[in-house]
Parts: sequence; structure tokens; C-alpha cells
Amino acid sequence: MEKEPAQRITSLTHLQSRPVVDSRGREVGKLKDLVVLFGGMYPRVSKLSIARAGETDLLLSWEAVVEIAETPTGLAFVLDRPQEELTPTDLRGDEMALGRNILDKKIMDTHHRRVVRVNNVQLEWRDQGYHVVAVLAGIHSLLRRLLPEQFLLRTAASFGVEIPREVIPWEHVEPIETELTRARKQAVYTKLAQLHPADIADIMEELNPSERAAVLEALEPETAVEALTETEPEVQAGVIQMLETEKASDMLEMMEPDEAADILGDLPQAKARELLQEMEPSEAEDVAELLEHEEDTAGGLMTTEYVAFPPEATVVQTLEKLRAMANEVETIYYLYVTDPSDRVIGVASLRELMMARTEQRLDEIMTTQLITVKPEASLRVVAETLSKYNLTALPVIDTEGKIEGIVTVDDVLDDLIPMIWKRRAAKKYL
Amino acid sequence: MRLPQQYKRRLLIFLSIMGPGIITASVDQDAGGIATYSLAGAKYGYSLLWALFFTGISLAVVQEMGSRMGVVTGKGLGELIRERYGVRAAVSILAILVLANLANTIAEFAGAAAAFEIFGIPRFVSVPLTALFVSWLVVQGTYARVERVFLIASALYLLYVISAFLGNPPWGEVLRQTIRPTFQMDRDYLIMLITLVGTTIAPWMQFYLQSSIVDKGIRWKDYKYARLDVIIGAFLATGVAYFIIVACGTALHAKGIPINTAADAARALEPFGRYSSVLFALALLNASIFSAAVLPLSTAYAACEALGWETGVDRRPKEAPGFFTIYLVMIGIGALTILWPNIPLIPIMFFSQTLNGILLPFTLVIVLQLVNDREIMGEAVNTPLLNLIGWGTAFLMSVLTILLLITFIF
Repeated sequence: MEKEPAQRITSLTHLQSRPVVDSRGREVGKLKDLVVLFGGMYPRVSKLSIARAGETDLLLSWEAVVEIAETPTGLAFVLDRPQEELTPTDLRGDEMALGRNILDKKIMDTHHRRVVRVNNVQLEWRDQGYHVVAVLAGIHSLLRRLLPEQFLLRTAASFGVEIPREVIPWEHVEPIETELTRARKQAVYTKLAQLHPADIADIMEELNPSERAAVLEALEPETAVEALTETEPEVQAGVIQMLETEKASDMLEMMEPDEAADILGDLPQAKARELLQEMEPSEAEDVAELLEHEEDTAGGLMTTEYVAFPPEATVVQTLEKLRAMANEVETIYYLYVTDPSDRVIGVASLRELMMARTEQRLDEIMTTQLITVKPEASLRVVAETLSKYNLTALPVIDTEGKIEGIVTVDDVLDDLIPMIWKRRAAKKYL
Repeated sequence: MRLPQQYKRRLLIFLSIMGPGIITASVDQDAGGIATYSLAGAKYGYSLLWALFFTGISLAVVQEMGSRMGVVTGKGLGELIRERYGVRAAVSILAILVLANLANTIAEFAGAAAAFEIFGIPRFVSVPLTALFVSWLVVQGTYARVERVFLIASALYLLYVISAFLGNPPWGEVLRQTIRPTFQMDRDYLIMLITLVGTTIAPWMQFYLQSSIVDKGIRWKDYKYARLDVIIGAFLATGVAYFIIVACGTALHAKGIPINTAADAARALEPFGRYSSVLFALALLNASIFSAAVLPLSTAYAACEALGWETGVDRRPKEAPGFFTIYLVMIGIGALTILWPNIPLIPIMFFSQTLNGILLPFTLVIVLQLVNDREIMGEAVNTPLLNLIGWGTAFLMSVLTILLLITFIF
């Protein structure tokens, strides 16, 4: 279709159920849906689906439309040939129908990091075709589906109010569940994947449990794990339960052991046991150990991934090894110096390591005055110790002086912040 | 006794999944329910037990469909209607739901007022207090924590079971009436029949159950446990109703005592002597407050899901204005209606359930269409037997409503 339609900007529901007529002016049916081709920033309308009385729907290429005519009874689609010569086509793998997949469905708004329901799809005429440029949400587009525009405008004006319009540009729209996401033939959730994992977590919290599981399974494993660790504990437990056991245990393995233990602690026992059995034995062991501690104690907060070196290691050896393991452990800022029976005899910070000469031994540069906590120390004690000595991590030491793990400041913050907020919120409402 | 490992595991899975069906069943026994079953027993003795028997089967079938849809689609009923049938259909169904639930919420406040009156507390004190308490539960997010308390307190219904036995009814007669249908073609009887079904299978239950199932995140693999939960719930709900009717049939109908106030209904617990009215008041109060919290909540959830508004009790009112507005407006209207001077409480509780019964076919037909839609349900569509019971219920309820209309015209 080369002729530009009278309405450059229109909406899906405005075009739906308009008559489609052939080149001789006979009605073929009513427009049921528009199919768009994915690719490019604004998907282009490539096909149209026509509902016919007493027959199956007809899918035609958009090229078959010569004109969107303005008739006395409203818009009508005019086809380029007589009814008998129409050639039906099929949906391609990278195409989907807007009405079936977007309209009235939920989408993720990656800009405002929220989930909304689509009340309408906005189309704009560019380069000789309609393109999807935005979806409409909010009260205005909702009322517009129920009532005539004129009535809406007049009523709003007589009350002196303006009904807010919400337009979400297509570049921020990430459909949640469509024929394309279900088929998984191509990369999905590409816009979502570009967000920070904490933002993905915010959006995920607004989804249903089954949708969360579907989104997570489609994301890159690392992104998925990071996003999951950023969500609320109840959400984490729910998602892990929804996933297949194998997938769930894979994700748990990729997490820090303390995060994995927190999630398993929130699950029913039978489920937690099943997942632990499925995990790699070495990872499972670390997690199982952490599970034995009470949640809000140093033992429950700690991670078993820390860096420890023998006292005779030299600075250059240590730096070499650190480089290799830096990706694995939660923090490399403190190096714990341990004797052969795992007892901590000193600590050196990364700063001290950098300042020392390369051939110096660790026991020459380490501090022997250790600040430690016991596994049963409460969250409060841990937080106070961290703050009093200005540390970012603390070793957790058992009665024999052996190191069990470390508590980092971010683990403590994760648990403190909700408590502080609750107290504040309570004050605000009382 | 040591259970074999496998059974123990299954039991643990069931315990983690159970809840939605049993909670829904418990909320089902609300103020309207107690009033309706009491009136049914007092007025018609044991002669409506057959209707309850068949309603119980239908309840299990209807609830099973809802939970299956929740597990298969992962979506609430409101959402599914919107996605499948568009905005207009969704808004029309929501209007029906809001209307029915508003009537129910009013009935819950009537129940709370009636219970407090037994303790001698006037309604202009008790009703505002109840409204404040219920709003506080949800706005402060304490509801989830007290849900268990309500649920445990529902064990008060056991009193009716004990009372029914202590009353020593003619059991042969009771059992015969349970399986032998009888029918009367008069207005009061028709209303009673519609109300009895309407209070047992209420439209809100389908929305509420499906949403709870979705929130629980149950996989299709574990669906059999969810189904068991729903069936146990339906069985308990019907069982409680059964014994309320039997107890009232023995204590009131046999002696020709009509129910005009809550104190009359309390006589069904007569075998408990001077404690009977206090126990009755406690059961009624728990039922009323539990349901007064849940009904507006489920309405707000269903509406917001379908319209695409923010939901959730864990949000602040500013973050989910539509959700909290619907919730609080329903509580407000419910409470204000009962503050109308000398409004009769028992009829309000009863006729709200009649409205449920009249509106039931509308939501039931939509549920049946969705659950038989292969595009939505895949292989998990209804079996012919379930369809027969489901469509049969919708059909019979429509017929009863039309018959009722005829009695008003002629």
C-alpha cells in the first residue's frame, strides 16, 4: 500500500472489526487482527487476519491492501484483487498477531520497571507501512475501550478533570508471554536482559510465580541468578519451587552458598533436601553446613567462600592465587592467615598486601589482633562489630579458633534494611 | 509408627501445598452461610438435606475446575477473562462480582453486629470497630499472620456436629432426606433453594480460590495435591453446613421455633446449655470478621488483575491506589449499611446469599467456557462428567431463578 492513510497515527482496536472489501467492492470479512514482523525498533505490520462469516479466518499479506478508505460508515480496507484470487499465507516464525499476543496482556515496562496491562496498541504510518510505536495503558485508554471518545472528553471536561494518558514507547515494552516466548525460537527478553539485575528483580516481583519462572528460564544463567538473588526471600523460594529440580539446583550452585542456604531455609524440608541431593556434592556440602545455623546469627549470615593462606606464603604467591580465585569468592579484601588446622592466626588486607614488598611473607605483614564473631552471635552484634571497627567483613570463628566462614557487610545490610524500614513505617502510621 | 519414606515425602508435599482449598471452604461458612443453613433447618427441617448433598458434589467440581485453571495457566480468573474475552466482558463480569461481594460484605457486618448484640454491645459501637479492625488488618499487612488464627477458630463449627448428635435426631429420617429429593413449587421454597446453593457455591469463591492457587505457584506435576486440598475443603464446607441444618432441624423446626434474631439461631447449640449463645456468638463473629477481610480483598485483587492496576497488601496505599480504594470502599459501604437504624440483620444475611445464587450462573458459564478452551487448558480440559455437573448446575440455577420470577409475576 503506497497511499498514506488519512490517519497516520491510529490504534489496533480502532482498526479491528472494520470491513475488508475486495477490488470489486464486495465485503470479504472484518479485520480481526494485525500481524507484525519482529526486528528493528518498531515492528512493522506485515499481515492481516480477516474474520469471515461461517468460514475460517483468512490471513493475507499486508501488500494485498491498496487503500484504507474513509467511507460514510467509517474506515474500510480495500484489497488489490477480487475475492476469488486472494492467496492466503501463513505466519512466519518471527511474526506474531498483536491482538492475540499484546492487546489485553501484561507487559514489562523496562523504563519504569513495572508491569502493566495493555489497553491498546498504538500504530504509526512510516515508510509506507504501519509500525507499532507504543502501547497504551492507564485509565484513559481503558475507558476509551468502553466508552466513545466524545462522551469521555465531555464528561471529563464537565468535571474539570483531565484523565491521565499513559503511553509506553515500544522500545521500553517487553511482552511477558507471547507465542514467540513460548516457542523460544529466537532470543527473547532482550530489552529486559539489558537492565541491571536489581531492576530485573523489581519487575519480577510484580509477576505471577509461573511468569517469574518462565522469565528466569529464558534469561542468561548468570543474569538470572543475579536477578533472583536481588528479589525478596519469599519470591526466591517461590521461584525455586516453580522451576524444574535440575534447573533450580543449577541456579543454587551458581549462587553464593549463603544466598543458596537462605533460599533453601525458606523451602519446605522435603523440597530443600531434594534440591541439595541434586546439587554438586561439594557445593551442597557448603550450603548444608550453613543451613544448620539460625537465620539471624553470624552462622546463618556467613558465606563459606573466603580467602585463606598459610603464613609462609609470600606476597607474590598470594597475589597470583588471588587473581585466579577473585571471581569465585564474595570478597578478596581481607586475607585470613590460617595454620594447618584451619585456626586463624592473623589477617591482612588487600591494601597491606599491595603496599608490601613482593618477597615478604604473610606472617610478616599480617595483623594478629583479630576481630571475630562466634557463629551464634546475633545480627545486631555482627552489625555493631562491623561498624565499631570499620570493617567490611568479619571472620566467624568456632570455639577451637577455626574459621567457619565470613560475614560481609552487604549480607548484614540486606537483613538490616527491612528491619529499619519496618520501624520507620510503623512510626509513620502510628 | 514409621511411615515409609515415599509416603512421608508425599505427605510433606501435600502439607506445603494445602491451604487455598481449605481456606476458601472456611471463608465459605460466613455470616450469610450460617444464617442460611440455620434458616433452612429451622424452616424446612431435614427436608433440604438432599439439595445440600448435591450442592456439595457440585461445589467440589466447580472448585476443582478453578484450581486446575490456576495451576495450568498461572493466571487469576479475572486476568483470564480479560485476556480471552477483552475489556468489555471483563468489566461486565467484574460488575457482577462487585455487586455480589458488596452484598456479602454487608452480610458480614450484619453477622458481626448480630454476634456483638448477643454480648450486649450495640451495633453503633461494634460495626465501626469491626470496620476499623478489618481495614487495619489489611492496610498494615497483618492479615497473612492472623489468617491462621481465623482458620483455627473455624474449629468452633465442630460445636454444630456435637450439637447435632447430642440433639439425638431421628437418624433414619435424616439419612432418607439426604438422598431423596423433594420439591415444592412455592416462592419461599424456591428462594430457599437458590439461597442454599448460592451460599455454598458463591461467585467470589471461584475468583478467590484461583488467585490463591496462582499465588502459591503450584506446578502441574503437583496438581493432584492441590486437587486433594480443594476436595477436602468442599467436603468440610458441606459437612459443616449439613450439621448446622441437622442441629437447627432438631432444636428449632421440630419445636416450631422460627428464627427472627441471632439469639434464636443460637438455640441450635442448646445442648451446650447456658454457654450456647456465647459459643454461637463467637463462631458467628469469627466467621464474619474472617470473611469481611477476605471478600473485599478478593474483589480488589480480581478487579485490579483484570484492569491491570497495581495490587498487593504488601504495598503502601499510595503505590496501589485502585486496590486500596476498592477494598476500603467495600468495607465502608458494608459498615455504613448496617448502621442504618433498625435494619434487620438476619434477612440481610439471608438475601445477600440469594443474590449470590442468582448471579452464580453468569460466572459459572464463563468458568466453564474457559476450562473447556483447549488453547488455554491444552489437554487439561474438563472431562464429560465434570462438564455435565458444571453445566447442569448453571442450568438448574437458571431454571430456579426463572421459576422464582414466574412466582412473582403470577
